[in-house]
Amino acid sequence: MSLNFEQKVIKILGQDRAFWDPATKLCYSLDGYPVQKHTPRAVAMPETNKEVQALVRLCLEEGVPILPRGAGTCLSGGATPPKTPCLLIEMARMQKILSWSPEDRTAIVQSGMVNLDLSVIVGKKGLYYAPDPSSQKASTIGGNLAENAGGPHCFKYGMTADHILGVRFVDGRGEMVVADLEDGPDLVGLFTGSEGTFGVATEVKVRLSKSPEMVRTFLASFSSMEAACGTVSRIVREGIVPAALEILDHLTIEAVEASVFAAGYPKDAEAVLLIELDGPRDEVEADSPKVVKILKEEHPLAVESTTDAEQRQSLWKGRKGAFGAMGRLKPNIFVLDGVVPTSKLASVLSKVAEIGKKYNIVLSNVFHAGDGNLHPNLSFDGRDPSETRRAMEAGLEILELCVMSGGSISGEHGIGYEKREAMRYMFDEADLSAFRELRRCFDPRGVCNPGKFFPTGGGCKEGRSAKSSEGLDV
Amino acid sequence: MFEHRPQTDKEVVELLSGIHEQGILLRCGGHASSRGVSPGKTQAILNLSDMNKITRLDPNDLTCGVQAGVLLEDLEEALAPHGLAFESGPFLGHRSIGGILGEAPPASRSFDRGRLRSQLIGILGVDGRGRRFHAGGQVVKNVAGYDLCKLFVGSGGAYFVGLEFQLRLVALPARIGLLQSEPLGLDDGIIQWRELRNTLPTPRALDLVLEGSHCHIEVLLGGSAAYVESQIRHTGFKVKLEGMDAWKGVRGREAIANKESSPPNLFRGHCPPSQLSDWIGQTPIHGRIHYQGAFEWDRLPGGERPMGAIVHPTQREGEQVQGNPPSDPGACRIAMELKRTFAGGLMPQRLSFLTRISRKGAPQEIHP
Ligand SMILES: Cc1cc2nc3c(=O)[nH]c(=O)nc-3n(C[C@H](O)[C@H](O)[C@H](O)COP(=O)(O)OP(=O)(O)OC[C@H]3O[C@@H](n4cnc5c(N)ncnc54)[C@H](O)[C@@H]3O)c2cc1C
Ligand SMILES: Cc1cc2nc3c(=O)[nH]c(=O)nc-3n(C[C@H](O)[C@H](O)[C@H](O)COP(=O)(O)OP(=O)(O)OC[C@H]3O[C@@H](n4cnc5c(N)ncnc54)[C@H](O)[C@@H]3O)c2cc1C
Repeated sequence: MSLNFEQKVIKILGQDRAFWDPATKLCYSLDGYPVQKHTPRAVAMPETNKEVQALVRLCLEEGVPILPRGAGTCLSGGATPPKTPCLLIEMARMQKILSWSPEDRTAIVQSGMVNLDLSVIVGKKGLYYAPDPSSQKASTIGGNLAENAGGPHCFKYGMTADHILGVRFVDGRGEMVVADLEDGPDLVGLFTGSEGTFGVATEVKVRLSKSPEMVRTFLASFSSMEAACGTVSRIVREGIVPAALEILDHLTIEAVEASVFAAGYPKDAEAVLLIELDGPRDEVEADSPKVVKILKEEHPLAVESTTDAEQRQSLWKGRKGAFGAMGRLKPNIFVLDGVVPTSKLASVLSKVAEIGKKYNIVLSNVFHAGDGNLHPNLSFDGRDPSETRRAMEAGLEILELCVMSGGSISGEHGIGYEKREAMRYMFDEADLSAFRELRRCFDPRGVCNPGKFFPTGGGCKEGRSAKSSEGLDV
Repeated sequence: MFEHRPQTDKEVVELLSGIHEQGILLRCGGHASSRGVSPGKTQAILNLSDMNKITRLDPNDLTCGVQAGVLLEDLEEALAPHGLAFESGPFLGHRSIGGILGEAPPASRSFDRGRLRSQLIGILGVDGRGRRFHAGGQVVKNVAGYDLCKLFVGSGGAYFVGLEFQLRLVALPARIGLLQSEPLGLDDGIIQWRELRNTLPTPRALDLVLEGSHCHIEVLLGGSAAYVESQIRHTGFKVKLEGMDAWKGVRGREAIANKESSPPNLFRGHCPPSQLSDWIGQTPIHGRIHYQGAFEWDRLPGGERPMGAIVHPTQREGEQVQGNPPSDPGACRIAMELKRTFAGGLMPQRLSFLTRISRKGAPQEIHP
């Protein structure tokens, strides 16, 4: 008797690691992008490389799309199942550290390992894994790799791509591939940021970093966003390389201070700026007065600074809880991720505010200022179709503004469903066709995470309305 | 043999599509070498020396745009008044930016973000079939689109020609110093180098320089005067060079070993630092090991290969893979797919120089 698809999945994994009950499928029907939702055909939880390979091969035989999934914290719909019911490969059961060498400062981990867990383990030897997306308590090394995740400290330490040395993945042909940074063309660099469209990563070799000798955190509050952004530009230009430069605007401060994440940020400030210097003690001590001097010249409302670990954490508490706190503003939040040259931060932000007003959308900003990575947050009520549509349209207009200002539509959250139409702001048909050809080298049949990343056809305007009429199933 | 010296993107597109249609093999290169590029099996040379404009310089954002034929020395001259520099890996001034990014061997400054692959943030390319495309952008943080910049860096131009590059720049530190130890015995040198790796916070480069039966250590430091001073005290080494001389100093020695653009007699690869003692001592090696374990052996006695190193075969599955063929069969198949898709008639100058260590070294700590 021939087996159906579900029975074949059971044959590979056994009963207890394959699911297609409606409740489980509902749990996996979206990620952190609240606007689109599709249920997968089945959810599989492999534990070995071989099982992943067998699942991919099965999907190829049966013509079923594949969606690799880490923790589902993606903010661009990359981990939302495609419209055609897929096999969702959940990597949570593959979260071991396979080997690590404190001396070589490398580790090989399974891709489902949670980012922070790795730093906790290697922390015993004074090491840590540098990429630190704010979701690091939940998001996985595989998800970070697929999105080329950044984080507050990537201004100094670089993105995920700067810390990946090798990847083992099952490609879209069902073949096992070991890509090594030191060996052959940079397949590691190509896979990083490919958003699950090149295959399923099962193991990742990462570089570990030495924990800094000293850390000093400054919190400065300003009466204008221009002054906060001006301070950032001057710090960058003067060659000081803080570990982090983060700004929160007035609305975010209000939301944070009214929430459980209250950090004592001054409520009358238009912006607060967190500056973190880290590294050798002598270096931090030499840079601190330079930072203080720049701050003074920009006339902040108040400045405090500390090297005490606990106090530093309390300064960061509001920043880290900012997205959570925004739940106070509206039931849903749409986190944008545009990038602009740092020298244009202030002028772009004032235009962003105008766009918020034009669409009558509650808009707050919390962002990685050092590298110009904006996160305008559009708060809306997903039950209100008109407000949802306005939020989407405002989002696209802001991304267009970022590109017009010499920037990008995404600094770290990826394209996914959210920005696929906005790809046309940056790339023309020839660029997109080079990307399509590249993808075919890894996934000739387009089974891995289809429907994302590439525009659906037509211009941005058509895409915009297509999305708003089709995807509003929150 | 015909050398083409186009002046515009359009000419390059026309040339490459024409050449692809006619099945002609072409090599890009010869930009900075007085000897030109060795043609090998190719029938045409693409020389981008006339495309040599700095198209954009944003000192406040630490980025710039350059055409492929811009020479590093010209870029450095334009950046100097702004106190900026381009992290150019092991290359000295008289090299084209296209050639530098095309070759991109592992370098001293492979520490953290010092690698050449992190410096290219956007590219305008034309593939071997004459198809022109962009990838990346002009800002230092950007994940939109697939990262074709990574495919270019170190490819030897195997997949496409880079016409214009967007680069990340660095602000030069207040004080730069190149320190050098006294000559050391090999065992002592390895112990000291390892210790400095653990105790020196963030050196820009930390090289163990092997000279047969003895060695010395070179440290490149950049930062505030107080920091550099404290590190000089910490190491006890002498300051060999300061300022821009120091900045270029570590590169200088490597470049000398590489001479001009003919493929140097040089083995490059990677050795996990924990396996170093195991590895050195097998043969008297002349070469240099960088902070993360990337190495180059520049003079091997009698042309011998270091024991345990595998020079990658260039033939696989009956087909020659240009650039660096990877050793994993799955990766090799994708490399060939990439070549079929993009390369057309492009033939890079070099085959593989990468070596890899097969020796099973010190056991790695395994987490339960
Ligand atoms: C509160 C909050 C804060 C955040 N802060 C940041 C931040 O500071 N910086 C930042 O960059 N992002 C941030 N994010 C976004 C998100 O956390 C990152 O994109 C993260 O990298 C996703 O990891 P994940 O494990 O959740 O992956 P998922 O969301 O499950 O998947 C993301 C994408 O990766 C693919 N994928 C996952 N695993 C694999 C695999 N093993 N092989 C191949 N493809 C795979 C998926 O198909 C999908 O396309 C934040 C999100 C939240 C909710
Ligand atoms: C394996 C190898 C390692 C080397 N290592 C070093 C070193 O560490 N330090 C050093 O100073 N010198 C090194 N050299 C010498 C090297 O040739 C030149 O330093 C360097 O390539 C720049 O010189 P050029 O501008 O004349 O490059 P070219 O000779 O013009 O080009 C060098 C390579 O890059 C490709 N290339 C150049 N421009 C483009 C472009 N626009 N698009 C696509 N491909 C392009 C070419 O096809 C060629 O393969 C090395 C050479 C080789 C072959």
